[in-house]
Amino acid sequence: MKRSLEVLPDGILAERAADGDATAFEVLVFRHGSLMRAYAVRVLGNQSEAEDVVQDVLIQAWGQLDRLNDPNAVKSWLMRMVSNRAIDRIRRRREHSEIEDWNAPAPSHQSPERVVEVRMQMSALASVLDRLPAMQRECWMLKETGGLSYVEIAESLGVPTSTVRGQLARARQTVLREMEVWR
Amino acid sequence: MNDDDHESMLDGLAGADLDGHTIDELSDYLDSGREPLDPGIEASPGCQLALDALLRLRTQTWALLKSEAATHSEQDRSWMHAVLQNISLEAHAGRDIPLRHPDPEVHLRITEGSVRTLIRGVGDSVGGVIVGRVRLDGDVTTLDAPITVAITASAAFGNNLERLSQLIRDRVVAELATHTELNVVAVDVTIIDIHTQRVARPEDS
Amino acid sequence: MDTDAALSQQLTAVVAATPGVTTVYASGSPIRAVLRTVADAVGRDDDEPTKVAVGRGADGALTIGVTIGVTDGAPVPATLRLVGDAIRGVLATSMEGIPIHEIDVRVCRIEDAAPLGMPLTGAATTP
Repeated sequence: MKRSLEVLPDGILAERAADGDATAFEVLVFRHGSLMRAYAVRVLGNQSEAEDVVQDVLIQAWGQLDRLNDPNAVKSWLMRMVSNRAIDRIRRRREHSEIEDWNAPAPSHQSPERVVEVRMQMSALASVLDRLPAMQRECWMLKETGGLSYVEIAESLGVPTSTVRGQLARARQTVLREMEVWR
Repeated sequence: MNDDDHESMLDGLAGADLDGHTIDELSDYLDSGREPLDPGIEASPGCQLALDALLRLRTQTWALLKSEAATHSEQDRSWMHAVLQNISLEAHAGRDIPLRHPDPEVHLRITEGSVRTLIRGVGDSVGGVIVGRVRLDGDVTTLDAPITVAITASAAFGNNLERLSQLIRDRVVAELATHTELNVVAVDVTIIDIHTQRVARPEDS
Repeated sequence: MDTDAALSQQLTAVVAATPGVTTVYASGSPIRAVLRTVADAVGRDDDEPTKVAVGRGADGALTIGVTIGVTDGAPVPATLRLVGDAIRGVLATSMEGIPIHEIDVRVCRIEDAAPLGMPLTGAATTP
């Protein structure tokens, strides 16, 4: 009898997928794919690039799972791959753009497909993050959610560490102020 | 509190209200897990407020992502299916395992990957067992070469691990005899009882 | 239509129809396609009828290669031999007199005959 794999923990699924079990891999994709995408959207600022990145990551991951040292950590491994690929995109974007205004506010049409949030609290944070200038938002997501260090972000983007610190400091100020957390 | 009060409070954050510390510093402090403990920061009410706020923001950001993921999960299915259609079946194909045919021009082969999947399915069919990794040791590409199958598996709490090992062994031998011409000389099963972490290795039986 | 393409089409149909065969894969490694266009098209190579690889040596001898998925409901060696025989059958009639260098049949997937729980995906099933 073929047991449903959906109840299995990440570690066992990752081991089986590393051995070539496509069904186990499928469960991992469905289990973590949406979060990977939601994270990528906030790092990159648009949905189609986010989907491209996550699809690339998952297809690569399939072939690299046997190199994963700790199968139980597959979720953070996947999220880290998303961070790395997203940063590559951002750096390439920057290399191709002529004028770099890191402090320009985000364009108002940035998230046209935004789904209406039910919970007001999260909606407030969502709109604050959406309105952050691109580089501030990228640094915020990569550091606060992705868990990358200042140095990692700086090196990958090809900018000084002090620049990343500065962007994060401004992002924090804005978010703290607009979230009215002092109330 | 009106906007002016907010602004002045934020301005003050860098100064006396944070007892000389900056938000940036406090964020680093949080990242280090509050180690080593800084008594100055810990004793400052302004700093504690700021630390709480920063932590809350982090938690809220995660919650936001999870909520967005959940809202979008139905739509995500289509690109996820595209991923699954496109994963390379060659990635885990492994070595080619030959089968005999009377005509010398006819070459019949099964990939190692498909045999591993077969073994996994057989192991899973034993009640209470989940197969983890499967390895085929020996030169599978040469007909009649001696092959050892090594399997790790998890078993539900309370099972007789030696009995389960034997069951797996018997079924794997039978399955490989039906579907391959491998010369299987041994099937080594390592079972871990996921509750007690007690392990039964090949030499135990 | 080119003779070899016609032969490939014929062979593909015959192999797909062989009892025990669940899938006939496009020859060569399934390489990652451009994702967005594949996502739009839904599925991979479903309609491609010439999946069996047909090659000719300098002497005109034929090399036939195919990668398949089979069911575990029948012994895999038996299915493989049936496929080999089916290919030989086609060559005996369509390519009478032409020497055969090699017929290569490779199973890359053995599918569960009676799956329960999550359905298998990823393999394009031939009609």
